[in-house]
Amino acid sequence: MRSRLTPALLLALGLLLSLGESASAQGAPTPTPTPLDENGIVDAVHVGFAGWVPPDGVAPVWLTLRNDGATEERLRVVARSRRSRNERTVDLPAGGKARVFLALSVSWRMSIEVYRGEKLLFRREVENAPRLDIDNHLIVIDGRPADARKGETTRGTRTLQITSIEPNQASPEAACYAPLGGVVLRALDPGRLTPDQRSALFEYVLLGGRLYLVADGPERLKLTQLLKSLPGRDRKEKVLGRTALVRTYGLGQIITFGDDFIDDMVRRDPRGERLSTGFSNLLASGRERARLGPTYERFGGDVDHPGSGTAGLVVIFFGIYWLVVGPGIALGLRRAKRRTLSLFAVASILGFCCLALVVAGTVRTATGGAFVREVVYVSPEGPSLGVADVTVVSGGGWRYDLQLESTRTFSAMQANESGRRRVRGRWHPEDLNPTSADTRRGREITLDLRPPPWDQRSVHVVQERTDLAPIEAELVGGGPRGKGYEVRVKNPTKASFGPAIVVEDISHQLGAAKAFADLGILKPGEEKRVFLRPGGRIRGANLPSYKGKHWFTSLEIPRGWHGWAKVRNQANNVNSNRLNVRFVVLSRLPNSIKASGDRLKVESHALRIDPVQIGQIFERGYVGVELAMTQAMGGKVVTISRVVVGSPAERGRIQAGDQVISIQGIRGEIPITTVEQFMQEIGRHRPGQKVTISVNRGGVLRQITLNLARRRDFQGR
Amino acid sequence: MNERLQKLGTWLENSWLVRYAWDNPSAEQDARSILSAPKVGLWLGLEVLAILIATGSMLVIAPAEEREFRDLLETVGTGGVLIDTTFLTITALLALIVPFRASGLLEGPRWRGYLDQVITTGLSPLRYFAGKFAASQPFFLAILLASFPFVTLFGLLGGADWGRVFFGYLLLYLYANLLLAVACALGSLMHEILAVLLTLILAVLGNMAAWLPFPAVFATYSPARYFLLPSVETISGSEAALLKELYGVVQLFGFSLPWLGWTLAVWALLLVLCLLTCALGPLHAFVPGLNNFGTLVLPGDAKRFRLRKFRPFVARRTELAFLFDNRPVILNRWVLPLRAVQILALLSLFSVQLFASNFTHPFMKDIDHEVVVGGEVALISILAVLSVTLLTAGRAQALTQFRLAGLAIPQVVFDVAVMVFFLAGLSALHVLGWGYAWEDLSQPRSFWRSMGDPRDLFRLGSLALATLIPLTLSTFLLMKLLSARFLGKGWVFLAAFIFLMFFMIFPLILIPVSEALATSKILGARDWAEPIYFMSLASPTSQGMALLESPPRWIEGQHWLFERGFWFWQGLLILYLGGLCVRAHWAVLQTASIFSSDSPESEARGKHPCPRCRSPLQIPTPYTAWGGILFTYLLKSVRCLECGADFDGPTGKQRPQRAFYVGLVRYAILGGALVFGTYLLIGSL
Repeated sequence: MRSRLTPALLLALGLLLSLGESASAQGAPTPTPTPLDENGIVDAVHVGFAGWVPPDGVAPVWLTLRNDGATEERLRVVARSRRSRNERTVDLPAGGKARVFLALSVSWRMSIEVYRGEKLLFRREVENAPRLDIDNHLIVIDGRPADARKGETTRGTRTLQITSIEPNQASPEAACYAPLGGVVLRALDPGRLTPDQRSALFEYVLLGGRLYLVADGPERLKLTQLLKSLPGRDRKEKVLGRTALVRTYGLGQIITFGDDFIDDMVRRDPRGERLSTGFSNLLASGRERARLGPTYERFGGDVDHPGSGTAGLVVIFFGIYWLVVGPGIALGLRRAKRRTLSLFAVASILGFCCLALVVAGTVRTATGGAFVREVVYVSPEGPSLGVADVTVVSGGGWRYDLQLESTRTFSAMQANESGRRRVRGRWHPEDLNPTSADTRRGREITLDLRPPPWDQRSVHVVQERTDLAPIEAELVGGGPRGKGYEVRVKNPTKASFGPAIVVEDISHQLGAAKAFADLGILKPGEEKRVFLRPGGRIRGANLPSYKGKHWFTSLEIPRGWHGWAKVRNQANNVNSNRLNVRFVVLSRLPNSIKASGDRLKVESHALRIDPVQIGQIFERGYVGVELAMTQAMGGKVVTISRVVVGSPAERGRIQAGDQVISIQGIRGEIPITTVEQFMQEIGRHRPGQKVTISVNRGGVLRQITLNLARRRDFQGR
Repeated sequence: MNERLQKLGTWLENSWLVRYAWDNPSAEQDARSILSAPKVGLWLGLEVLAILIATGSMLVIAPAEEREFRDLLETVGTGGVLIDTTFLTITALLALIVPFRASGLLEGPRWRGYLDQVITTGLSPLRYFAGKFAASQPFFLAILLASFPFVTLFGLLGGADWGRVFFGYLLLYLYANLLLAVACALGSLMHEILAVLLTLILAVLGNMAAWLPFPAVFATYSPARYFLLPSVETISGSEAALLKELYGVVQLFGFSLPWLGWTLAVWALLLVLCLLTCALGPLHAFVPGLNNFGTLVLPGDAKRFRLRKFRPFVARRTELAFLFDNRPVILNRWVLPLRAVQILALLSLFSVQLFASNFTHPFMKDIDHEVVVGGEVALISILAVLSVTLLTAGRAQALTQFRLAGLAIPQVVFDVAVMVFFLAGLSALHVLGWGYAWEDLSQPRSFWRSMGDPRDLFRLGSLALATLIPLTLSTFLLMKLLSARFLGKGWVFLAAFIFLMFFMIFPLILIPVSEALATSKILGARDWAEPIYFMSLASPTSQGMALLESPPRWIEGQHWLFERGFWFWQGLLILYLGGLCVRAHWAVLQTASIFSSDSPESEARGKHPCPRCRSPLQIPTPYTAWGGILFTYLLKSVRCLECGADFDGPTGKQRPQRAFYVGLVRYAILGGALVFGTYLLIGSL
């Protein structure tokens, strides 16, 4: 059995690398694209890798949404195909923008829809999208500037086709890369990828995929920063006749080339052809090496599906049974006495029951052998977070010998239906002690690995909204006499968060949690400290009777990286307006827990939420009037119904009863016919800007120029 | 060892229960027919084939790439899924087979001509049915046993929860017996072919309720729900939460009960009710004092000339009456209250299930509230109609009395008490349901915004219930009178006309007339606008309109009668019909005493024989359509006890012309009293 490093480390690495992200995000504003729908909500839709979708797998779907309206919008994004349906709810503040990612199982017809409530705002059908030819198709995440790329997306030779995508279109889901033979990062500053995108790439490699880093000159330095953060050493090898640094990571490899040879490959000369053929062979050998995580393929096709021989045996068995109890009794015993008939019927049924035991044994023998569902790779450095699960699915044998390979000492605990009770022993690097486990076909044996003497606990945060920026949480220290610990939760964003609770959960079932505390709603910037004592209860926070409106029953999230994958998937899934997030924290000392804030922050990124681009939000100007539609001049007109005291409107001597005719502002003179139009036009201006409002007061047209104020100065008036 | 076995066998054979069940003609006949090789082979062969096809299709057709299915296989295991499929197949098979197995219970002996022998042996009906049950047990066990090899193999190959398997078999066994009991009970009430078809339809409906996302509290009429539960657990998607709630535990007005426990309780109640029906027999069994050992069982059968064409039906009624006359004597005293309790229990079970379903939280959350309120009104109406139908089905019995705790209780009084009790129960459920779902119903929705306060809708729902209760009572009394048969056929049309008046004619005619009068310029006409409007309130339709929109603008009076007139008229009607019922009851008592005396002719001999059938037996006519109670009494009309014809007592002749003129006068007086009484009443307000 192989073991593997959990990707949690990668997430931590991702965070470190993301430090430069905020700087790049606040770069020069890009020109506003023309919206794709008439409501002005959807800016862009990207399906697959520049339109190409994996032949049979999961395609990335990106949507860019924006809200130009005056009020916050709650939008529902639905991506569906015949094989799956993913849904996300996004709350877009006025003037805000967001990018939404959904992973969608590929089928012949896929659709992406955006709803406001039940109203369909946007729909895009993707029919018969071009499929990637995995053996000959190379996906390049190209970090070069647009002018250097010359607008090319797909080009190719006879043997190799290259598709370049923007870094921001890279998938944050490893499943999308899984069928590919390899992914190339070309001249890419890793800081341009979000932590999720980086995690997905690492996960892909961890599961067996190949990542090629291709860059030349100064770009190469940035790209190789990725490798510094990963465990293991590079070794020099000749790949495609060139010197490359190869690093084995998880089940896959990261191959760094000394130069950018992509352009050479597409050159139509013998050298280019040789190169592209070689790369094509590399792709073919790497194809589908990456085995998907359990979140996507929880159930291997070979498990529980007997072969044709087995099926034939079962069918023959029941065929004979039918012949005996059906026509056999009806025709063969038609003159028999009732007692004979009853005895024969009972005896034949019981006899076939016994035969069923024999048949079952035969089938088990025929299909015996353990199916390893999740192969967990443990790197030579050991699992950094001490959490790794190995799940073995029995294929038919009653008893198995289990073997773990590692270079460090582990203790393992076996879990079965009746709980975690038996400690199965230790595995030493030199001494690969086999251990046995009893099981039945189709049942699982779960092994929890933990490096001693670490104590492991976890903290749940249940939150209602998914579209919020990361919440900071950390354990700030042990309580009195080492009996508990304190959790600090801070909401660093500009929006409220919650209601949320903190749960200390040892048994990984929320219902079994003992220590928990109610956080309530965290206001923007608010920080709360909660004291948790393991195994104890907090007064007033009775979890089983928690009847909060936003309560969400916990899922059993498996420990380890696949648990996180599940959480991420949940974020992409239908009920995603309620998220269940677990933070795993570690301690070296019993009864007191210390954890770094970094760790927690990294985990919160696993939510796969693209936070609203705060930089894009600007405060809108404020007039200080209330409006109503009234009947006048043979039609409906917008009429001022109230003027807020001290507001720009009052200062400009606008009066209740004035009928608004038009607004003259940054877009020129716009006639006003509805209240929404008024709000929208005013919303285009910032505080301090001037607008001229034309009003009709008692038949006299007046033009009033107002200096717009800030809304928050008039809260509650 | 052998000796012990023999002793056990002898003890079993001689035990009371075995002798009670097996030593009777139905068991013998059934055992002979079902436990024959061709039939056993046929049924078992069919079953094995059905399971093979179902499980094979499950594996072949089931979408292996669908996540739900893979999750299901992972959670339950392939074996578990296949075992559940096997059980579902057996459920369907039982629903098809058992009703047919139950047929032929009474019809078989009738057609073969030995029912009279069964009757003359004095065999009690319950024992007769017990034979059927006993003979069916080996058949049920064989059907269940035949699936053992499947379950064994599937469980060993794919893993199974053997506790669930045990409960699955238990449920299937009980389900088979329940189906048999329902079919037998219905077969003792109606023709067996109809009973079999009805049982089949009910079984299909029960299975549909189990498969479709009905609330768990209602989906108890098939074990299929138990076998479907694991599949629902693995459903994901936007409706997963709703489905899990609907298919999950039973929500009974705030109490969470396990589905299995609730279902077993419901089945136990149904079994008891069915066994009671098997013991008591149909409603037209003989009543002491009304026995007449001929083809005619009930008074009034003689009038039904057309029925003679369907003589077998009449003959069946008679034979059944004879069979159920064999029931234990002690039951005779309890039969009527038992039957009422039985009907009440059945109605209450349905009511509780329907109300709890209607007020289940998922429904409240996801369906518009108008639908919930509309659904409640609809189901109250259905239950009211059902209760009227069931409680007034008694004909002769409905107008007799029985002795309970030393008191002679007239059946009509008892039935009215049961009906009132049932309606009170409905009202309690209404309040309970609203109280339970109040939190969900108070959520802001568009409908609520239009209604203002949520309490308004509760008030409206309560008023609808309050409208329905007197209507149900008056309908019940009317049906009682119709079933009593001392009223003429014209009464059926009159009753239909009254209902038409109630619902259609009153609001359609009287309200426009009232408006026209209010706006007319004719002297004195305006004074009639309010009385006419008040009369229109006798219709629940007008009353409903008045409740929704308040009285129309031309009604200036502020009296409560303008808002609650319906109950005034219903009160009058119930009083009137109650009086008629008392008179009818008296007449039937009189008839019963005449027939039960040693010499009826000396007690009921009239001055002249009946002009139609020449029978000398006659009693004063209790009521006629032309003369009511009073004029009929004053004019000394009498009714023949043999053919039911009404004629003039002093002359011995039928006098239709006189009846016509008297009718004219009577209706003129009644109409005048009604109109002027209303005018005086309203004018004085």
